[in-house]
Amino acid sequence: MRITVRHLWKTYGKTLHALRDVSLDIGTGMFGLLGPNGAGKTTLMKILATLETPSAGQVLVNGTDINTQRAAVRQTLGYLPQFFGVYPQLSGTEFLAYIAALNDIPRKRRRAAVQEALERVGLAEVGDRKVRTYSGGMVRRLGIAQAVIGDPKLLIVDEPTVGLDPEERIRFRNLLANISRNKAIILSTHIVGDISSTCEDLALLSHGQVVFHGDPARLLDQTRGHVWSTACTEDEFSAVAARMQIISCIVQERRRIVRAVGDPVPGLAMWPETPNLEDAYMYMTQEAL
Amino acid sequence: MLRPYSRAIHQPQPYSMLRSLRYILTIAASERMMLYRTPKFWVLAAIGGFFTFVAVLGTTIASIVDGNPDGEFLLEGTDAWIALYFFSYVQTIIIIFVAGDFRKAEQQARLDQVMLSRPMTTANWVTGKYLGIVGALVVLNLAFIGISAIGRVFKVIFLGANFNLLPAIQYFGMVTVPSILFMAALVFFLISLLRLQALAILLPVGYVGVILFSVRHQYKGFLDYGCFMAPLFYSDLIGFGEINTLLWQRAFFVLLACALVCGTILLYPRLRQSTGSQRMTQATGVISLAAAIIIAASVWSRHTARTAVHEADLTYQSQWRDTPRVQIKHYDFDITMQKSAEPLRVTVRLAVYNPHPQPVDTLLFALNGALAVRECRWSGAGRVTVHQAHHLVAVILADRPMAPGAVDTLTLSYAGRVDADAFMMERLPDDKGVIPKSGNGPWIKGNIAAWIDGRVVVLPAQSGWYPTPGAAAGHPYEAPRPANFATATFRIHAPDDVQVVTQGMRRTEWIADGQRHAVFDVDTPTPAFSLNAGPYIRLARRFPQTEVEVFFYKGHLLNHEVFSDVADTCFQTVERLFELYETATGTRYPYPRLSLVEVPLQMQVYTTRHGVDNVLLQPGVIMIDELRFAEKRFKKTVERFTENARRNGRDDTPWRIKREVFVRTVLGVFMPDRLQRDSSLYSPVRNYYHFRVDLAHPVLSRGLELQFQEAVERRIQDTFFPDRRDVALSTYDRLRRNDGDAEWAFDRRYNTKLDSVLTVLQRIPLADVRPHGDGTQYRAMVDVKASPVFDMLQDRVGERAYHTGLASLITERPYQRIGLDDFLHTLQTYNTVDVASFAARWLHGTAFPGYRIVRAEAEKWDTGRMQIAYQVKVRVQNGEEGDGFVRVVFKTRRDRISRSLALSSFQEKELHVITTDLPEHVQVIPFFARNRGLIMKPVTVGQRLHRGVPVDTVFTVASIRDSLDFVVDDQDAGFFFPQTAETRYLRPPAHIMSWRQVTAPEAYGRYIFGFRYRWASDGEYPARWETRVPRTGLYEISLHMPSRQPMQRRYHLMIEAADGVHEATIHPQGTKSEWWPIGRYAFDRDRPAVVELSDKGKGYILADALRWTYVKGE
Repeated sequence: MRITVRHLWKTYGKTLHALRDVSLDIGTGMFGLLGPNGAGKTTLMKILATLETPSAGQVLVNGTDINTQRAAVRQTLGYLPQFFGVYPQLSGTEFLAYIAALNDIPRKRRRAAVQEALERVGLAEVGDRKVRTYSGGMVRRLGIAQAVIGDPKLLIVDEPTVGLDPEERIRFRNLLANISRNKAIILSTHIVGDISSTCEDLALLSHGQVVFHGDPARLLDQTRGHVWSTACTEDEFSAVAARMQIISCIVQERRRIVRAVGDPVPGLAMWPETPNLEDAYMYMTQEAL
Repeated sequence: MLRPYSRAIHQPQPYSMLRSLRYILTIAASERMMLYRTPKFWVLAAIGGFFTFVAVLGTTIASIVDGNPDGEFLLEGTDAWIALYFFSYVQTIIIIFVAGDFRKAEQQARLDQVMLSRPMTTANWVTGKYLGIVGALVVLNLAFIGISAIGRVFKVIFLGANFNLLPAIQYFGMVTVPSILFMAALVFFLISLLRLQALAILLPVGYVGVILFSVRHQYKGFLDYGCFMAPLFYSDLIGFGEINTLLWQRAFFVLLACALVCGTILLYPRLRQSTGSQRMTQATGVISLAAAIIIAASVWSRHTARTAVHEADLTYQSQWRDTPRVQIKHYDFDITMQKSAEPLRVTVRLAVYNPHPQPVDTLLFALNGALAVRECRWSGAGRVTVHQAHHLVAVILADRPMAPGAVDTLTLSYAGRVDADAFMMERLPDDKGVIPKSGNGPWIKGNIAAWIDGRVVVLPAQSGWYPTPGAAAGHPYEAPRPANFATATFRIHAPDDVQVVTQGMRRTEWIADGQRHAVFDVDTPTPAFSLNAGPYIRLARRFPQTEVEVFFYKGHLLNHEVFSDVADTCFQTVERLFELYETATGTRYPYPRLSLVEVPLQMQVYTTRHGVDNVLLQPGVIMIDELRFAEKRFKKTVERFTENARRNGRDDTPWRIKREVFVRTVLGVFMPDRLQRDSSLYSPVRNYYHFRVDLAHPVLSRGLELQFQEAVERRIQDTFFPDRRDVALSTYDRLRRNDGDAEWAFDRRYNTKLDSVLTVLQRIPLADVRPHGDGTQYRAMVDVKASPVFDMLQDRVGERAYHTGLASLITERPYQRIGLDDFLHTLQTYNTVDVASFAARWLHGTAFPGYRIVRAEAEKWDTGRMQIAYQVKVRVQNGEEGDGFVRVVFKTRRDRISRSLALSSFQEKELHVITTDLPEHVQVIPFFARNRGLIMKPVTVGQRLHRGVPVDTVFTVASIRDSLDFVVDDQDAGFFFPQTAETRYLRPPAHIMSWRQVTAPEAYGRYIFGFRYRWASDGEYPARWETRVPRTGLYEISLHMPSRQPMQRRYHLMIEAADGVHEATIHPQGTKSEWWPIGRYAFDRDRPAVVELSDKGKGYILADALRWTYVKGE
């Protein structure tokens, strides 16, 4: 499975560019699409899910142009949008059976596929309950189930962990990791933790542009030497904040322990730190500005 | 262990119809399932179930209560389809709201992106959702039919009904399914187009509202998607009747629905999946739309063409109107009715007579064009040439013209159906000429003017089913087509389960080869022949005058056996009825038989250009629509009447109650309540003269018929319902009185107000009234004035002379044309009254009197014969220009005394009438006047006892022109409100309640009895009487107070007299109507005399009339 995005533009109106010349190559496995709110992640997801057309550029899914052969792409696609709801009148099983039928799964195999999907997301026991009785996390899991039913080879998951509690988030990540074998999963998020623990490849979008594309280690490499810590007074903190992107700040009695990315402030005692993915994300998005 | 299923990668499955169908069915099934789980749907189901349950249970209970052996309440199978019909109104709104959730459901569930990224095409998606909704509603309707079926099974088992769900199934297929398809598609389309759910719901709701309340069945019904206004009637005789046009209309909406669904798909906000699918959608949409347009255009053009053909027929026939007409003296029919493409086959031998002084070489006959002439033989000449066109048959006798005075035989053979468009060619266009039965909705009359299918035959004479001499249409108003009076012999061959009804008396009848053969003879020359046949049951009873037959469909004449134990008593009333007819018309019923025959509910009565022609009344045969029979519930009515009688302490003896029910039923058939129904006159009065002489003058013809009808109706009221408080009035009397329902009924019937008609009648003499436009004004004018004028004439010349004159028309000029002048001339020969001057005043003049009772008193007299007599003195005044006549009726406790009185312009007369019974009230019944409501006054009986013998007399009191005692009533121009509520409303704080008007017989009135009232206020809304006194001087002014009215005690008045403004307060109290003196004030004849009543005080203020009484000069 290979998704090739070339020089993709999406413009709303005449001046609002949601995507600017985005080019990406996505292969099998988990692909993280990281970026702040408004970076263009959802637009890119929608284009990949054949829900929107690009203003320019090309997207190929295993060599198939999604602009001209949407039917073929939709047949291989599982999609969990950022905002996902359910038909309140249906039970989980019924809903998945409906989706399975729409995914063209033969009637004979439909029941098994539904059961498998429910088991995968841990909803097998509550499958017969009306969906309106599910918790938020269960609904998101049901969303994953509808996306993975029939084992699609391309799975697009847009901001799946928003609003979930930490336990549910971890569970969700593990779930994605479990199903990522032999398929391309594009995970869009602005929560770095979701990516760091699951993705082998990622792209960082900022203001509609790809500011980084590669594996997390390379992202960390690029950030190395730009992450600093210091213990400073209130006045010094102002100088740090003005010059660097503050990552964390621990306020103590007389001073603040600050972790920041960027170039160190001259004259202030700062010591380098080993970057993590969050530092890298902050550094790269700051750089893009 | 579950084996994972993996979708194909990059090997898209090719498009296939089967796959598409699978998607559609899946989506539809899910949509349907979700709909089944929504409250909306169950609300809909509950309402529909309720309708069905009520319809089935109600009709079942009703039929049980009625004890009907067939278990039917209305027409067979009506309960189920009528439930669906009423449910269709509710369903419309629910469809709009259910379909309005299209798109919104996914958006609200945040599932739109998930669903639209599935591999089905947009067409699959939209069609699936559409069919899901349609399917759910269809299933719901089928469930209702199922409930009906269960109900019917119970009826079959327990009540012996037939299992008939066909009407409901037909209605479901013809109307319900296309309606659901269209409305759901329309909402889908609007949502896709407008992307606004609220607007997409509001627009269809508005559309439905426009159909129901405004457009109705206009534009050939092509806006009425739900057939709410379609002439859909289920008839036990002919089912849904002629529904071809309706089916085309339904096809139109189905195709339009298809086009709208395609439009929805194309406009649906989803990225196109397949070009092929899109092209297919476009093509389907365009083809559907084109087909719908073609259907609409085709139906429209058929209508237009039909009108054009109609006009061409009329024009063609007009060309032949002056061709010398022969007469047919005798018809010898041989008629075969069969269920085939040619349900009617006729061979008729005509005894043709040439009344002209010159030979005739072309015999012209009117014959319905759908009946093709096969053969024509002329006596002695064998086959002759025939031209048949535009519903005319011209027989060419070039070689052997018909000699003057000769009678020869022409034999015509023809066969086919009957073209309903040849029916009364001078009728109004369909959209105006159709007579609605009662309002709209399911009760609109159908479009069947004549019907023939081999088993059920309804052929009024006007349908042209048999040849009649000359052109049927195109004759000028002044010289209508002469009637042809002929005798006839009918030899009829029909299916053996069919009863045949004609004008003839059955001479013989036998059944052979599964066919019923019957021979009928018509020995009396008759102007028209009708033919009815059907699977009827016949009830007959021989009366001294005639034999009465009732032909009804199985199960329609319910519980008629309740009369069996009192049959003789009941039938005496029929005899009495015939006697009343004879008394009212002055002649006997002319035929040996009167047949009442049921015809399909849909039978249409077309309106001719100048009025309703009585097409369902033929000589000796009255066709009555089947529902009129089926709705009679004798058993139930008897129970109700008994209960009422017991409650009111009246005689509840069974035979008396049954007789009353029977009488009302008979009257209901012959004298339908014309205030409520626009049916034709069923009364046989037309038979008495109209079918024996050719009454050509429309005012005479219609007026005379109405006169008899009303006379019979009044006599019936007097004879059968003598306990009524006021004197017997005919239905038209009530219309002319124009109060209560009558005003509404008048407006509805004539599309105008009585006052407008009267205004025109003050300009145009009755004899000069000519029809124009749709003839409603003409009919209104004749109906309002002609019958009263003929009544007046009868009163003037005397009933005996009037009837003798009319009878002489039959005996001396039988079967001849009679005009208005002939009629008047004949009357003149039988009496000494100056008929010509009467005609000059009332037929050629525009007299328009108005009457009031000035005084009604009685004196007690001791006559010396051990008896007290009462001398009732009544003064009646004609306060208008125009000489007139009234009947003054004195009602005593046990009796009613009637006197006729002539009152010339502005004349007041006093009548003295002697009675030994205590007088109660007096009523003036004008023949023709500007009065509204009853003219009635209670009689005041003086306590003083006079001795002697009082006299019965009448004398003129005075002309009121010179009166110095005058009244300004609240109906007069001099009464007004100087400040209206509206103007006051603009100046807050406002009391917006204005003066209201109420009619009350106890109020003062010249011709309209009523007063004004309002709740007391702050004096801002006074009522004012203003006049000019005839002579300067001192006047006593008095205020009239109606009796028994809750009112305030103090009335504050302001009087503008000659010497300035005065204020006065009066305290009217009491329980009877009287004049309350305000005081004496000087008024100048050159200045307005004004009295103003303030609305200050508490409680209701009443303003009625103010009287000025001259006291002395300056």
